[in-house]
Amino acid sequence: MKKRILPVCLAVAVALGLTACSGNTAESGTTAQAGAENTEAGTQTAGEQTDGDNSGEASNAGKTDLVIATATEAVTLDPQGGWDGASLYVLRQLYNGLVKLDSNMEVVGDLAESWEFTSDTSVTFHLKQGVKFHNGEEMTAEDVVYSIERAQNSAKVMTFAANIESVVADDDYTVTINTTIPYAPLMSNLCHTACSIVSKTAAEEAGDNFSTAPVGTGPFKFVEWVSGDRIVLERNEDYFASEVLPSTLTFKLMSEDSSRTIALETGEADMNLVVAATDAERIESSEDVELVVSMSPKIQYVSMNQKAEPFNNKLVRQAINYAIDRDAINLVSTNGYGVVTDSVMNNQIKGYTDDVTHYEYNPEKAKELLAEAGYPDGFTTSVLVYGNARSTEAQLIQGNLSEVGITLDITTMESTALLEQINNGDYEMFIMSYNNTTGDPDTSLYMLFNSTVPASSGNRSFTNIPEVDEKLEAARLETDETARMELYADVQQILTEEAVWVPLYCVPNLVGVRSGLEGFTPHPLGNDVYDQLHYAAE
Amino acid sequence: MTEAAKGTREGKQRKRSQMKEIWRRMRRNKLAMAGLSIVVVLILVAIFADQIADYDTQVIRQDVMNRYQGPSAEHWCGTDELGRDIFARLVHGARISLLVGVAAVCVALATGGVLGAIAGYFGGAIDNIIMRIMDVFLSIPILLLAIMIVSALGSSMINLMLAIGLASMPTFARVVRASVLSVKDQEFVEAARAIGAPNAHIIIRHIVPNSLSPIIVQATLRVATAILSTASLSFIGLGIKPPSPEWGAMLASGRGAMRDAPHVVVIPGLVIMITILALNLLGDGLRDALDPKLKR
Repeated sequence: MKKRILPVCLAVAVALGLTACSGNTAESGTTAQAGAENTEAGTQTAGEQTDGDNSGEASNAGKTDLVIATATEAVTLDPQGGWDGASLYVLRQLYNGLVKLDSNMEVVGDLAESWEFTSDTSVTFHLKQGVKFHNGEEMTAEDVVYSIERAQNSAKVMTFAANIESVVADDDYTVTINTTIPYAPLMSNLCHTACSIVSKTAAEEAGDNFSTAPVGTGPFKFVEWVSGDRIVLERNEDYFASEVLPSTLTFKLMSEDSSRTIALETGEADMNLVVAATDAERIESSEDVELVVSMSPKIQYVSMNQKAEPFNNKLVRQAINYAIDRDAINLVSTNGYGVVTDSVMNNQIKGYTDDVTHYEYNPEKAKELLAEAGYPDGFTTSVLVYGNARSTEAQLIQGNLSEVGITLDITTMESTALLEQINNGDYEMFIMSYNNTTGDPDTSLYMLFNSTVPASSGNRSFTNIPEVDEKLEAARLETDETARMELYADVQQILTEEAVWVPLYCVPNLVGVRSGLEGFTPHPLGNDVYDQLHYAAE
Repeated sequence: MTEAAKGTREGKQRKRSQMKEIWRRMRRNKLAMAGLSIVVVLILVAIFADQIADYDTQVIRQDVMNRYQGPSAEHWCGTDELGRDIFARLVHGARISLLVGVAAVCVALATGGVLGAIAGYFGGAIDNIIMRIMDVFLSIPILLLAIMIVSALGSSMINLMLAIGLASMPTFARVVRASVLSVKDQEFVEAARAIGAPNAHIIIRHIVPNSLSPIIVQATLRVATAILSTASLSFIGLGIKPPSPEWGAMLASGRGAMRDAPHVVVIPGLVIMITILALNLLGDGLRDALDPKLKR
């Protein structure tokens, strides 16, 4: 009895020490197995591991089965079924829209050859002819009408098809979209995956299962989705826009940050879509892998509940802005790759301005404002966060706020429960990021700060400023681009003066690729299409 | 009156010599003594944590320019992801871990022990009902049960103690019931019953003292499990709230930088390991020392 207990206890004790690394060991174990199933990739991985250092690029030349490591799993492959970041990565490979944003954020044709505005509220698209869906059928005006109407009827993406009165097929290759008002954000919205064109026959046939049997016109066709592990796509030989170079594309789910980096280093993955800031330097200094740094359309922010005490007081919100050391947070969270911003909008978005109220880190000023607001001794408040990284940010803010006498209680929650609580207005502060997926300022400012927008759709800070509402409505109707952007600049100025948020930083987009992998150019909105990814020949 | 007084004095004397005997047997067991001394050191560190490292200026003070520093004369165990002194955090973390560990075992003992004693003493239908309920609890892994309790009640130190305590309640119910069963039919219990002593008196005065040794051993071992559960819950973000230094939370927040600054996870990991090991060695030693069958 005694003899048996001790080793068991020892094992238990050691097991906890190992908990720290278990994420890696367990996951690399399973991924190695999965790699082996995928014959070609499997042998190459094995080869590299045995060869050690001098393998690298040589063994990758000509490799066309590419593995992309992702941090979160896609929710849906139905473009009208959702638009979370992880799904967007895959949706972009499967579908095309009528129009798209090029790398200069200009609207260019995708499935549409050309288009013209016939009036303020009506635009006619001429479709490309001979474009084939993955099921072999030709894409026609009927599919376009069906897809846009499908977006209008889907609660999850209907904001991207807002104010559309009707979609009419004039003939097989001509479609007219009529809007209820002269709606400036229309073209940006049509670039969004929510307005991707799906095959009408396939979607009607699949019904609710379209997410697992997606049919589009994109450079890649769907092969399989192993839930919790991977999504596999294969080359669309009939792609209308270009020759597709990779023969297969596997989105491999690896939620642990370091396992994605290790997979990239060992060659198990060819690309790591989400490099953790702590791993960035390691990847940068390695010869086998490269770090591609760009900016994403995401902004990280602290929101304050303006409906409740004490954040219904503008002075308190301004005090919080002065009290938080955003440079330190940017350094810890992004290793300095992020860009600290004063505006409530990401600097990649059209109409961004930094000519707004600036709050430097100034605890003394914060104390003065708190005293003026009637809280000379500070107060106790709470912040809701989801995930380890934001919990670290919350601790930094906790440290900052304690210097001005505010006690901050940190509550870590699961993401759905967190959103529900926030949408009910049952919170004081929270930390989150906002991803503007259209690139249009309307998507950021109208959705987040118009008082008529419910919390569940975006106005979670319960901002209610009549002047902002007016300008946002006016901007929607403004057809002159310069005048429209001026309105948005005004809105940003008012919102920062009112200190509706503490904008923390614009989130960097850190991607790791194997050396020799070419054809990856990060899109400013993250709308990357991987049809040109390839390893250079020797 | 004098008779009774004499009786207790004799009892005390006997108890003392019994303690001496147990202590003598303990001292012969080197591993158990090693465990005991580590546990004593940990308790002292926990008690004098404020004297060793100041909470406000060392434990929670952030200095992001000096994060992830290796061990040095200034920071004995280096600094963590926010530039806080890891040694100071470990010292104050000992206080939290030991407190939660001991409190959780007290909760488990108070609930499980009483239920087990009642079940064992009365037997029959009561026994069946209580122990089947305990079996249901036992079929759920301790950590899972604790996660459910913490997510239902919200994460705070008190709730954590309750959750881990309640989750380990059935083990104590079983141990206590088993030892109650082994003594309840002995002559001295029958004698007490014969002179009309009430049930509560019999359980508290006669049965519990005579079934104490397995409970002590179980409690010592369970403190280790409780500390481990606390660390695990904190690791997944359900334990102690930041910025309180908790060992498991230190592991969790440092794991991202494990390959570049291994000390951030290795040192807290080692501390957890040594603590659990020490408690287990002590528990094992106690088991040997308290077991009369091993008397030589």
